[in-house]
Amino acid sequence: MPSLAQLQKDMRRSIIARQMAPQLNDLIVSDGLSAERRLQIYQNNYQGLLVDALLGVFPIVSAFVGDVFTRTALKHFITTAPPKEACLSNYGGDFPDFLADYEHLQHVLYVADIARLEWAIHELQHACEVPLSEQKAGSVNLNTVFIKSDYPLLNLWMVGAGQMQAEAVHIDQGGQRVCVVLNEGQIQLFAVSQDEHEGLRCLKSGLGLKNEAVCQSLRNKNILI
Amino acid sequence: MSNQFAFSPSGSLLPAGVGLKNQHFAEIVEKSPDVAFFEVHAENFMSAGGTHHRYLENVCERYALSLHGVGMSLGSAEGISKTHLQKFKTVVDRYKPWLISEHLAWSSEGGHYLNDLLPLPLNENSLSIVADNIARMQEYIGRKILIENPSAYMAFTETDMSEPEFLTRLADRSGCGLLLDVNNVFVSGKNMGWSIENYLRDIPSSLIGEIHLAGHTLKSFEDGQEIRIDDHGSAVSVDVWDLYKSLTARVGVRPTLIEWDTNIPSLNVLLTEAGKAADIMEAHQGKDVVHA
Repeated sequence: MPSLAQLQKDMRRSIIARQMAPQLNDLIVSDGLSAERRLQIYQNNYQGLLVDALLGVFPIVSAFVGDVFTRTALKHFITTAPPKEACLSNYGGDFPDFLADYEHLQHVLYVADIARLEWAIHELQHACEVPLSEQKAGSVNLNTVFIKSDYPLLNLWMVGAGQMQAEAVHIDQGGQRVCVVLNEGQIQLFAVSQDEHEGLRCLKSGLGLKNEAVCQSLRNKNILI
Repeated sequence: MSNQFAFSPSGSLLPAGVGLKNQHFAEIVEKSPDVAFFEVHAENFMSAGGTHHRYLENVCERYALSLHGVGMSLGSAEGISKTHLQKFKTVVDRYKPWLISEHLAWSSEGGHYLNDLLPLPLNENSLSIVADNIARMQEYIGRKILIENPSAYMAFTETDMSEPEFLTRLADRSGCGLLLDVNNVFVSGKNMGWSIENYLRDIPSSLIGEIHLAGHTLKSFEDGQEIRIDDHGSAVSVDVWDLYKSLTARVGVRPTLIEWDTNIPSLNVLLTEAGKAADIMEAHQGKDVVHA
């Protein structure tokens, strides 16, 4: 008889791969239902619960490519990159990269960027917000995440969220930089203009930000303290 | 190690509670409904921040909290994760829950987390492993915990003791109490073909620190075979209410939680279900009430 450790290793592999290890046949009681069918319930629970959880993190991806396609992609993702910890709010950060390499999405690469934006929103929703009063004046707000895309990312996100007409967006209209801001518990999304991006780059390199109009614009967006 | 089974229900409420769901946060904060306690999954509050923490802080100012872990993997032969234990303790220290519970199950192996409550063979070897893991958890968080019986869809040829015997011996060895999930007993009994009534009879009343009630679904296969799935997605079944009545008549009033985790209904529906549990408890009030 195998040890409990070996049994759990065999079960873990069988559940993630959705293929029962033959040796489990002798260890699972097949009273009425076969061992394979009994194990299938755990395989389905594992996959189904994770798919549902991640659909809640990536609703705009689903709005673009459809529920069925998203579920299929998530099932592949879950099989190739299973969770490593029980705190599932940390699970799913690799899904955007998975989508970028997903062969069925190579003609709509912007979907991976939408997933990056959704993950940034999710991460900030679970982050500990640093009060603005505790941050240095003139610095970049610590409660921000920036995402650069070759596509009109914010506009696409707004289409998926029902906040913009699809006809108003063209994939080839150029890329957008998006800043996700956590402000008093609320998530705000802003497009970062070229001037603002240059200003932030100067700030980061220690040159300072001298353009008052850009400073004011960044402050209005809560990007600059 | 403190054993905080002490319970001071607000007003004269009997200890009936419901799971705290994101969808109901605002309504609960606004209306302060008549319910004795709320229960949350510990893993949902392990992130550093988020508005859900603010809501829970608000709820804890007015209600007792039951903290229910789903990811400690107490049945793991490789032991439990120090990292997860630390995160769990952080939640305990922050919210100071009235009750703390986990499961007779495993979910982690070889650096992977399986997001389910998986069964294990019930024998002397697994008893030692689970008892050691519970002892480690209790020692680390400084609190006694309640262990919940799982819903099962399979059994192992290496099992050589009944679940009530296993749980009772586990409590004796580790000092933990039991969270008796009546729906799980019903689901497992039907799926595995053992006597539900004997199971409930064989659990010593002194060990029961909390009761869970939930809904389940009946899945039929093409060849006519059936299995019950513990999906927490519907009202408590008539069969489970009947078992709860019999159990309460035997053991007396115990803190009782309505679990509803999928297809989540309005708060009113949950409160109505909790009200049914309170009505049953009221009929047996005065008999061995767990205030402790």
